Amino acid sequence: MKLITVLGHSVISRTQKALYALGFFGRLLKETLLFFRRRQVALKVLIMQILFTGVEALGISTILAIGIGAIINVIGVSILPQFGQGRLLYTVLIAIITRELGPLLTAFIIIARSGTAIATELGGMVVSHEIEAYISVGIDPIAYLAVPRFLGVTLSSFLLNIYFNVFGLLGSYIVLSFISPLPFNEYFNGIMEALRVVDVGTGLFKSLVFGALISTVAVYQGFSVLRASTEIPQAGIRAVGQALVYLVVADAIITILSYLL
Amino acid sequence: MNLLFEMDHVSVRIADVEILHDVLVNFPEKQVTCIVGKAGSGKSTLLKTLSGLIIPDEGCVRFKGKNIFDLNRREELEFRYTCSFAFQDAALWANQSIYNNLTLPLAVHKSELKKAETDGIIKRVVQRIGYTEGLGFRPADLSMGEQKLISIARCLICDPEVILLDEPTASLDQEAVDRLTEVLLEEKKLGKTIIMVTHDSNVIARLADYIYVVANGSLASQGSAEKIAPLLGGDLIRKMREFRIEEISVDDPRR
Repeated sequence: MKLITVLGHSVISRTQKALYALGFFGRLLKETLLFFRRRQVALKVLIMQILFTGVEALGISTILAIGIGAIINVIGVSILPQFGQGRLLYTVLIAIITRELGPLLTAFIIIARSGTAIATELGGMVVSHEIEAYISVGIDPIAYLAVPRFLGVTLSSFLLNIYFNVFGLLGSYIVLSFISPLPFNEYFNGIMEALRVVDVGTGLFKSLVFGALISTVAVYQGFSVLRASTEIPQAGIRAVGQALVYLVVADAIITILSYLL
Repeated sequence: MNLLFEMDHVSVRIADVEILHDVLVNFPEKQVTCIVGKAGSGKSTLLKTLSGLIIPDEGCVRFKGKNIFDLNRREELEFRYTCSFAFQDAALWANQSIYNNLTLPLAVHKSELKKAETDGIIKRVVQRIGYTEGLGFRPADLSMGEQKLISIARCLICDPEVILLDEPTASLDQEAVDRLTEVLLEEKKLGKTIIMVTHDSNVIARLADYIYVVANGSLASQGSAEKIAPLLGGDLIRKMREFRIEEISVDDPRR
């Protein structure tokens, strides 16, 4: 009987949390739609978020993109010709970089940099009563703090993904030119022939979904801090862990759907 | 005398601990009400609940007859413009300059102001409360006392009708306390409603129209300062100083 009571409480508690999270997400979406219609007090916060999440991540994105592009190229050039499928290199590059690794690695970079930063920053603001101070002067923390971060991270994820793709494919060419020199025109044409609208569309859609997921989880976890400063790093850890799980699940769903449809 | 705030059987629990228990109290308009009590008695929670920063588990808070937790966005904005709050620990926005800490409320409530007008208001308010350092500093660059002054300046910046202050004189030196008391006396003469949590007996003696005593999450007693003073003689200040506030008991004509 006691076990049933404990299970019942657990189910009720989890359901309440899930409903609260759903309500939070709904409110975030509603405020996001209203963001462009309201006076833009939060515009500066949005610009700063894009600067931090997007612009400041360009360096690490460049290194990762060129590195990953080079690795795929080296493996492709070594293995594919053995099966007489050297031409498939472009298709493999597009499938891996544009459809999968571009959005996914960009999302990992954003989780590591911005996901933790947002969760811990907002958590710190809760503990130091800064959130209450916003409410006390009539500023809605979701509209002023959450929405710019949501928009900034989502937009940055989208743009960083494009940037990652460009440098991933460019890095691939640079490495290829060392192994078996190839005119750039030929490489470019090969890439363009292999590139399909569905590849680009899937990659870009994933980057938008990933950005939205990361920012929502980070903001939610940041606001979930209650009193103690010891809760702040825990919020950061939860933001990273949950975002990774949701990311992989979303990636699997979108990938399956993109091949089915 | 009009009632401004009505707390109707308010109970607040934080982490399963009941901080306020069935509080039933009214706050009159255009008067200075001081809330006193031991540390941990629930004074700050009461003030935050009054200002809508804490949602009670039971009961409601009415402002001019309207439940503040049922306000729509426009009404809430109006409420926030009318009632301004200064926090016990300053609660300045750490990632923004002092200038931005003061302009943000103006940007929300008086967005029609031009930069020169905004700057003029800020200059007047910081001079009034006696802040002399630069406005480009971040809160972390200032002492706790200076942060407190900026917090009070932020509270006063939109010229609110109702001023809610949580321990306004804590961390301030005597000169700053005297200046702040003068500022609050001026606000009182202008017909503002001031509700503050304080332990400062001198401030209470100079400002209070009403004194509410909170003990163990409930209102232990309440009454006008005029009525309390003769009842207790000169003892009031001493008892408060010694935190023997539970001994302060008066009949409550308005409860």
